Amino acid sequence: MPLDQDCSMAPARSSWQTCFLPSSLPRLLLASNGHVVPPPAPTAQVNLQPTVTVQTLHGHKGTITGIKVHGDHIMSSSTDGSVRVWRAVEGRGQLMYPWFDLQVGRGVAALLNAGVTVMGNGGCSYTHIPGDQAQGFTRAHRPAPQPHF
Amino acid sequence: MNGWARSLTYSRSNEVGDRGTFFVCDEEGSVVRIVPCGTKQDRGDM
Repeated sequence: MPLDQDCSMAPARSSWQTCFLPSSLPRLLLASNGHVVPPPAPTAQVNLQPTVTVQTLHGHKGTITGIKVHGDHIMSSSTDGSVRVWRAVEGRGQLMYPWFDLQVGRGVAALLNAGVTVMGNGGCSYTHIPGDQAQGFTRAHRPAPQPHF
Repeated sequence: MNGWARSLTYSRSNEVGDRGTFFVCDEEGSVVRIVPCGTKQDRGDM
């Protein structure tokens, strides 16, 4: 199973977000309150490989709407309007969109105005290209309202 | 990005060096593109 797997799900259907890591690692679930918890135990069958809680990622204040594993990092989006980047090994938050460094103090933390580049904590660097530059931010074109006569 | 972040997805090409792009959409129909531009391994023992 590829490591990079889309795990997004519409929040109205379920408050659970599932994300499957490689077989050598346990299954990862992100619940509605931003916690990584084990899946509910099956009721009619014996679970020969029970899943245990490995990490609890605190930070989101709303329902998790998407989660994605990217190398050693986890990205998650939430109804609190933020996107967070977690370091999977340490289980800690690293970045949050709108960008600011969650853990300043070790490594390089730089916030540039042009293109908002955040280099966080010796880990992964993410660039957000705002505005019309390279069409990094795309707003849906809606038809202008017609006047009523 | 206003309101909920409704969905998070990821896509990449098969070209060498392409780290892919994350796309996040919000309630206004806006899409934010997040480009991971570099990754280095740091286990904290350096």
